[in-house]
Amino acid sequence: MDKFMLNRRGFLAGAAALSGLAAFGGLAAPQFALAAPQEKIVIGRPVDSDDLDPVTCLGNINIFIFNLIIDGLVKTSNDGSEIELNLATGYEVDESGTVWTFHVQEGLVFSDGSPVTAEDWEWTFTRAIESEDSNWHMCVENIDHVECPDDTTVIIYCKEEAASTLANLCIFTLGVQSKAYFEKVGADEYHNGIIGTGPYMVKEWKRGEYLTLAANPNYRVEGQPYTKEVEFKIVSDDSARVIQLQGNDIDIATDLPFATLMQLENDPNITVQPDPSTMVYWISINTTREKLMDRKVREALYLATNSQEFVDTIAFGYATAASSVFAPTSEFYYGGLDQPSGDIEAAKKLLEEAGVSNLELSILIRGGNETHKAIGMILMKQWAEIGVTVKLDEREATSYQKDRKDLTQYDLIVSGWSDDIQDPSEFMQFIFDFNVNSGYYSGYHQPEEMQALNAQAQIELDNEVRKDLYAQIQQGFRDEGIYIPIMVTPWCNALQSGVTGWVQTPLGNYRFEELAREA
Amino acid sequence: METFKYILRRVLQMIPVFIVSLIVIFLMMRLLPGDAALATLGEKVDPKVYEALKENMGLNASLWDQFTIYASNLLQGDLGSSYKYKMPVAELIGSRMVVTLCLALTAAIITIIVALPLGYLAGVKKDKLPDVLVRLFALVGLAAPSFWVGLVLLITLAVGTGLFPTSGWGKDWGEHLWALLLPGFTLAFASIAVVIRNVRNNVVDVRNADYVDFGRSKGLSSWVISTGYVLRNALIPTATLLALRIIGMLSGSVIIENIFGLPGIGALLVEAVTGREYATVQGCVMVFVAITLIVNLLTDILYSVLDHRIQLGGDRA
Amino acid sequence: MTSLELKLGADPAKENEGLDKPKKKKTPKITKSGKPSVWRRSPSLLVGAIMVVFIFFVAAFPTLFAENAEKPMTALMDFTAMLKPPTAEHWFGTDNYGRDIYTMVIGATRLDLLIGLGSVALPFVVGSFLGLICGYYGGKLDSIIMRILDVFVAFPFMVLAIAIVAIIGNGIMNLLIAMWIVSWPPYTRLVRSEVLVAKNSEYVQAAKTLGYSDITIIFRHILPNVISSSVVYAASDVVMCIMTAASMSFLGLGVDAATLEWGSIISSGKTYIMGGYWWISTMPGLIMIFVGLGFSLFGDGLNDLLRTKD
Repeated sequence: MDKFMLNRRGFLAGAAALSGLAAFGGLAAPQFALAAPQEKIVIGRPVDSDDLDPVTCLGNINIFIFNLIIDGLVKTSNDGSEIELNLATGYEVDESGTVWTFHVQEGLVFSDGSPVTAEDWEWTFTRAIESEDSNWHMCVENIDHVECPDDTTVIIYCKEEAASTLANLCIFTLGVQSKAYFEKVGADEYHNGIIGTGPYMVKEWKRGEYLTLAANPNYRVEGQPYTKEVEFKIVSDDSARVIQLQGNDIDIATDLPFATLMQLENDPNITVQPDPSTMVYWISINTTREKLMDRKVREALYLATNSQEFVDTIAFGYATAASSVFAPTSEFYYGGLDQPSGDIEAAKKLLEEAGVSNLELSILIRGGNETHKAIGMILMKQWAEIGVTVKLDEREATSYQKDRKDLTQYDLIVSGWSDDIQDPSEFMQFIFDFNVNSGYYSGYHQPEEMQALNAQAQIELDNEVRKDLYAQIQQGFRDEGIYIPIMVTPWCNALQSGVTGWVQTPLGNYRFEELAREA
Repeated sequence: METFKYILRRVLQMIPVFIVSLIVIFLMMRLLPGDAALATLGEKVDPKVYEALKENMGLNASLWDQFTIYASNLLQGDLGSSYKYKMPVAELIGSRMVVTLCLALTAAIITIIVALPLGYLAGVKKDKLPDVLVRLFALVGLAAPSFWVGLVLLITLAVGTGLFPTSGWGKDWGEHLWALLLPGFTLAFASIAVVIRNVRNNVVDVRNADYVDFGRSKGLSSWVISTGYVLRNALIPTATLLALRIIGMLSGSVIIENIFGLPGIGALLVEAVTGREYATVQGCVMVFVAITLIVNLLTDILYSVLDHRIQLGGDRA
Repeated sequence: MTSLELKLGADPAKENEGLDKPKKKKTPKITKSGKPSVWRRSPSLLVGAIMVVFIFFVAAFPTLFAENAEKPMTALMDFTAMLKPPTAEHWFGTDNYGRDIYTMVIGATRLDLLIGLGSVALPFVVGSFLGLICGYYGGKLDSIIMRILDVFVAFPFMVLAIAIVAIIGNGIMNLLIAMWIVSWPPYTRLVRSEVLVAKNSEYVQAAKTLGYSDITIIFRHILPNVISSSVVYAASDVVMCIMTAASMSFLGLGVDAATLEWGSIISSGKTYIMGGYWWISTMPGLIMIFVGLGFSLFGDGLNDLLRTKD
């Protein structure tokens, strides 16, 4: 019961058809402003942002908002499939592939009316590059330094040639910010809001209650953004968000549980909009455990798993069954793998061949995470069919964070990844660099051939070749049998039916230039 | 004079208890697995970023250094600051405390409004139908888990009907008040039961007391007796019980705030324990402990003032 | 002010039932004349005892009440019967894994009862023992233990329990340990205050003059006379402990998801309330109320009984 198509080209059409409205929003948005758009749109979300300084912040709850406030040279397209120019009008790469010269739009001004200067560009880049304790430093690691000969030229000197350079430049830490403002308010105050060139700017922030953004009066696109004010209201309780949505107290509710999406389908005034995301869940198998060292055993577990059942049971059909740890929205997703589909007989046979019986496995679960818990429960049921006993080992959230770094603590672990950039390089580093998190908690050292493929994929500039390399890598993971893909979940949003122009990219970024609701 | 000496002694006794409590919570926080740096990083933990963050947060300092920094800051009135909220803990607690105190106050008022009349009624109609019903109600109140009561109230009065907000605190005092009613009632539920039973028993005992018989024999109207004697004498011990319930309510706020999404100190505390926000936890617990100690002291004093027959400075713990 | 003292000194267990732990109170014995049968004197005791016995019976033989109650968790799951409302087939409805909630609730009885009794047993023994020692010997030892006790009660009950479980980890045993650590002070206080009264009584003075050892006096002469309030308190404490444990599970700090426990069942239904699936969270609460009522009535009855003894 697929509620939408997770094909990245089809998703907008799919979402629009679902809502019963004409095509709107995203790339296909017709160029008109609504007759009388509502002055203010209120978005109910469960958790408040805590830090609006792009360099020091952590967590989706902050980073999803940055596209509204700051712009970089380039950005990912609304459907996440490609990279588009943003403030840049064009760029050249030198022969070595390490020097990137970007030409920036003329006459850019910040939301406070001051011009964007070479100094601002240089400061923004330098701060991001030099902040080595930033959680996002990985994305700028390859940049050596920048030079800005004038206000409309940014020359980026990379350490090495890399295929991910452009994707990395989309990271929000490189969205141009006003240096003068930073110097005026200081680093401490900077956590409370920044000044950029985006369609919105921070107007008022009452922590824990609401964050109000006002339209940038100096926004470079005439007539945008459509809505004068956007308020992110904190409604921590899931049911409260639903009620407020149904009561028209809020225009949009985000992060809804799947069960409530199903219920909202029956409300004629509400549009359920599960926007595709890159969030993939899978089970990592700890290969350092003696009982799991045998690839046959791992393969048996893979075959005994039925990923569609997770989709139907946990997500009420609002997710898609996964067959790779890559999300299908990624350009480099390889569709040629078999999804775990519960082949009990084959699994039993493999276990028999491996001479294993009465296998008992413990799965590490993040306390308080309902999805993790449900995955564990269903796995328990599915693997009972082949005589494997699964024990749920639920640990308090931070203890879990600590214990999962210790391979002696678990047999299996629920893992998940969502991309921050439109490129697999960051993700692959988490898998291939054993020191980061022991092969994504599998305890598996990737063999040389795989390492070579990954190294090549990192620098390969020909996209087709690169796709092939990542296909081989995904096939490699499948053959190693270290990860069992479960499902790809969407951003679970629901809107008032009159809301148009809602965009949340697969990377999670909000894009509200054309967000509006008829009054 | 004796009273004064007693109070002084009690206050002096409180100080070491307070200090030891602070040390205990300081150590307990350090015993928790993981740390704030790890807690803030979420799903993706890059070891390099983790180490840098730890250093940044001062988590690499030795336990002793951390303690001396904590203690010397505390002596200067500085509770430290919350990494997550990017604000001083004192300020954070101050803003959250308002919510919790309002919640406790609402619960206390609801308790009084509901429990006093019911308890009095039961006491007056001892062993008759109203008494049996009220006592049964009180027993159910004791038996029902508060988080369950909260959920049932949510399901019946908030979800679907929209009569009450299901979560949150609102933006102005009107909304605050509205938002506090269901959680206030939930928190009051167990207290109502305790107070009803207490009032009832007090009323029964007072009505049996000699001076009430004396009043009756003197021909005073039953109304004068009930208000003038019974009620007043029965309510004095109830007042001390109510004061004690405040502590129970603070403890209960931890769960209730969680259910109703109220940004109070109880919810903050749970969040801070999970997030390993040492400074915030230490600050919250300090406030909790201080309130508990003060309420205990006040009730003890209230006791002694109300009944001179309780020996001051005697054997009380 | 005769009556006031009675009020203030009325039974601590009675005044302090609920979620917090009692302050120390004097507990004078009220002596009534006449001795009708135990059950006649206290109908609460009779009703409470019947209910408690019934609960024990359910815990001992769950399959008599729900045939699948002792089957493994995986056998209870049925993905074709997810989130079904209460019907004749599923009295309490089913949850998001298609498990019959009635069966889960019955199946959880044994564990919850174990948690309730287990949480009370050790604090009852240790707490009462400390109370005896403190009350009897007084002095430095008494002061030290009382100050330690003050620290324990200065922390809000829930907060201490949460911190302890966060430190030592989830699981039934750890939950019990947390309960033990937070539950002992009331017993110490109750017993201690009674010992203070009892040790000046004639029979203890007499025993001292006769040269009995301290141990004999404490355990043979004092203990039987002071333990009653602890016993009464323990009966209501069982309910409190079950509720606290359930609250912990509700916050995700109790038993794991695959272990059936009333609090965790209620908690697991939270997400589904908004979808209109109200029964997951509400139905187990009814059982908890029944159990709570049973123990409360039993405790009340016990109180009546023990208070009227000579």
